[in-house]
Amino acid sequence: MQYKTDRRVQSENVILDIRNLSLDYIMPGQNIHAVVDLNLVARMGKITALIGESGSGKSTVALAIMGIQNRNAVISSGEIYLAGTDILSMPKKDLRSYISNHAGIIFQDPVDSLNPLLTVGEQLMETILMHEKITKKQACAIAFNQLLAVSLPQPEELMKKYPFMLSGGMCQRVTIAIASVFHPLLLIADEPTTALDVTVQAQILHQLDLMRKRDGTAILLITHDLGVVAEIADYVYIMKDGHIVESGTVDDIFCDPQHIHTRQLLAGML
Amino acid sequence: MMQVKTQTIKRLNAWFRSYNGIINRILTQQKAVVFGFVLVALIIAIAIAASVIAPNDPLKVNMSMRLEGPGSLYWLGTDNLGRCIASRLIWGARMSLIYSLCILGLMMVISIPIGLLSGYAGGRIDTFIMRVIDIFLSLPTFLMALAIVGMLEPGVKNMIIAMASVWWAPYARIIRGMAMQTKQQDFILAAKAAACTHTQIIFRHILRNIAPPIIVMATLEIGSIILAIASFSFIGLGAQPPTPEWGIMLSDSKEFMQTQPQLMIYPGIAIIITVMAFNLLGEGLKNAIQD
Repeated sequence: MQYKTDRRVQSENVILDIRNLSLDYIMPGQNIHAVVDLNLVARMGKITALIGESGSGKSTVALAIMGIQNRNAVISSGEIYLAGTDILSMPKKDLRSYISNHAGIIFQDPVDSLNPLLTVGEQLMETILMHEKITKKQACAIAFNQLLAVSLPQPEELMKKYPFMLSGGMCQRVTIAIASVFHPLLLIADEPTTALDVTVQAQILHQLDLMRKRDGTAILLITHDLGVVAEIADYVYIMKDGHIVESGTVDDIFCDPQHIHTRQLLAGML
Repeated sequence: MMQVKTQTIKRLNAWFRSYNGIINRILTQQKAVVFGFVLVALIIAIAIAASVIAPNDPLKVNMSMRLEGPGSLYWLGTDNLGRCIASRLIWGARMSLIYSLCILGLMMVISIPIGLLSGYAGGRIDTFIMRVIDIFLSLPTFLMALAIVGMLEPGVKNMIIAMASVWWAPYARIIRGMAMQTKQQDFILAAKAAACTHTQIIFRHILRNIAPPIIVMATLEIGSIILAIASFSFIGLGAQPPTPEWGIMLSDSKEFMQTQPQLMIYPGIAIIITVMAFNLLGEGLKNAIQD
């Protein structure tokens, strides 16, 4: 391959490796440094949590990994290795299909992440047919299995339903199903449980946990909910004003926080 | 066939449901809309069935029966050439609707792609298109349309071209706004993340979601288009005699205004009712969607 690659993937199960990423929002009159010199690693089968308050730049990182950041967001330096290839060095035309084959993303508001005018089946099959040249029938079968995989009951009827007919939790499962159609190596969950109530939160988290155990998916969990993190994450990155202020395993961070911001966050949780 | 039908109904249902029970609100809160809807349905039915309903040939001249009063043969009497007024009114409904749908269609064909492109692409393309739209908005549209028809040649085809080419601008602007709004939503991001192409996103995700407001906008516009068509025909730049068209009927009868005022009153009432019906319907739909 002519793109910049890295062998670390095979050796250490690193799916996502962000190195020295800096990203600015270009505004009229000023530039905002949304992400500054960020380093982050997500490993196969592990849940990596990226924690920060609103506006700390954590969602910007997620969008940058997927290559769908805003037009005025300019990556000024750094590398994003996704499955061993630096996506920032890729030409635009290959970028989207490469990323979408290796990574999926789910958003905060599950109902808003589905097109209200297409049925669940149509949206799933659209994604499937876009990536593979197969017949509608085969795509239908894949969609069916995909819904079963995210523990949705009666997939056959569900396929014909519109998003407004489903609960928030079901919608989030559908978005997970869509994001994981091709068993991506990386699943980015951008505050997946913020819009859901507590019992449904637990189910969705369980679903993510299942995915990483069953499929070995690396999960990048973006959240400000430390309770969730303590429960399922393996590695934690604490982000503030575009900087990673502290990182480590979940035990390190929760038992022995070093940075004052981390302590504040933990104090806020108690 | 049956399955297609249920599919369509389901789809429509989803559409309306996604706008928070729009139908429900219309039916319960807005009697005027229902009235408008019934009138519009009636007018469309009359237009479609014109050839069946009309008692006489609208073009047939009967010089021995000029300016007759209402009777069993000529329901509303005859005009200065002995043509059946009722038949001409009924055929006029068909003409008005066909012309206004042509104009509306052409306007949408121009404004939807331009608006979508402008809203979705953003940046310099958007700025350029918006400046062009500003130019069109600053022109007095009716005068421009008159000038264009005058330059080309009076006639229905040129009237349609002229009106569509000066009136698309505000629609393109509204469609651009809606496209920009829809573009911000998460499901567009999700579609991008799934590597949807731009065309797919624009047509499958954006256009589909802004279609209902566009339809409402169009309904609201039909009234004024019909009025404009009648005006054009009245001053002789639109449909040409002897076409049974309301504007032409008005213009033909202006010489008899003093002695036979009903010749002007009938087409006048037809225009008023039609414009009012479409405005009531459009206004009500607009309110229902905006709430």
